[in-house]
Amino acid sequence: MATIPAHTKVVDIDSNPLPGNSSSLAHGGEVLDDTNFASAGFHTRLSGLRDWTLQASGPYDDADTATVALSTKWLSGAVIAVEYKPDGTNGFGGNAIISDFTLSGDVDGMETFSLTAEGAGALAAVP
Amino acid sequence: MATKVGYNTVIKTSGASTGMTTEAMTGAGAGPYQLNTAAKRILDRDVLPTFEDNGTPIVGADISVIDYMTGKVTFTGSKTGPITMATGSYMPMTIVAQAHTASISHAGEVLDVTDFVLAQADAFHVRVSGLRDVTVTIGRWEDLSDTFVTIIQAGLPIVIEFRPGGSTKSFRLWAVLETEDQSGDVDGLEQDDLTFLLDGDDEILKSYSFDT
Repeated sequence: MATIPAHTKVVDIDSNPLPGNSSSLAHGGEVLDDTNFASAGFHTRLSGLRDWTLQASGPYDDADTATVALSTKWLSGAVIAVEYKPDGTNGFGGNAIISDFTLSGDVDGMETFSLTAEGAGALAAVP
Repeated sequence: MATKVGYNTVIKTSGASTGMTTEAMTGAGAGPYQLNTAAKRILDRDVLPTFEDNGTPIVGADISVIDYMTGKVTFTGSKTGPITMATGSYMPMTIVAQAHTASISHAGEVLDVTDFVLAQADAFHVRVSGLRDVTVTIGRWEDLSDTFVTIIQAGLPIVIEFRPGGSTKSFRLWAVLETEDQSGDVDGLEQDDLTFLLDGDDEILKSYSFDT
């Protein structure tokens, strides 16, 4: 059994590692119901369009290349090239659009960032 | 690694627009040139500044872009210098009193442009970026100063400067105060929660900018 400790994860934004401490990649898709009277009492379904979403969060580092790029790409509306690699090498990648990039902090905590990016096209295995 | 502790966050709001004349700027060639005096770098977006090159007025056609939020100007061609801002107005900024939480959220509409041809290529949704928006939230201890009650009742936009964790890199925007919520429980402090929404303009650098 090849389990993967999460601390080995690497999330790259435009080939630069994002200094997060939590991240997720959601693979989704539309599930289309084609049930008809002949379906023997059970729903039947087909897969429609696929979709994916990246979320990441962590301490805010204003000198970090990937973090700085998020502000620039959000402002221009350009896509970011995302690679999500649970073991640091192997994973999935594709282009995404930033739908939310938030910086926040309380007086008694760390300044943090959170990112949500929605797939702008295909998600493929990397490398 | 330059992570930031939250308590170093600096958040400011603007006061009344203030005129200025003959302000020194630093830069080279076509620019950008930036106002030397840091406290005067957020320009009133409703006042068109004028510039001089070694004492000679610079015509508007020679100006490529003005970044009103960071006090910078870029010209279409190289200038002799020194460059000065002959006339203009800036927004004086003051720290928001008694703030203890703050966030800035950059949002973007994601528009689905998937069509049959694109979908048949790889069966994935295809998207492009739509309108962008910014929200700033501030939590502060209520002090009965009515500062923000006055702002929300006036209904006019103000400038917010946000330096997360005390970073040297600021986010600056014109924003409208959408909500001010005052609340408190019997065993706590009276709280004042503010939500601001970006107020854009006909040029992005008139309403939002950040240091890189």
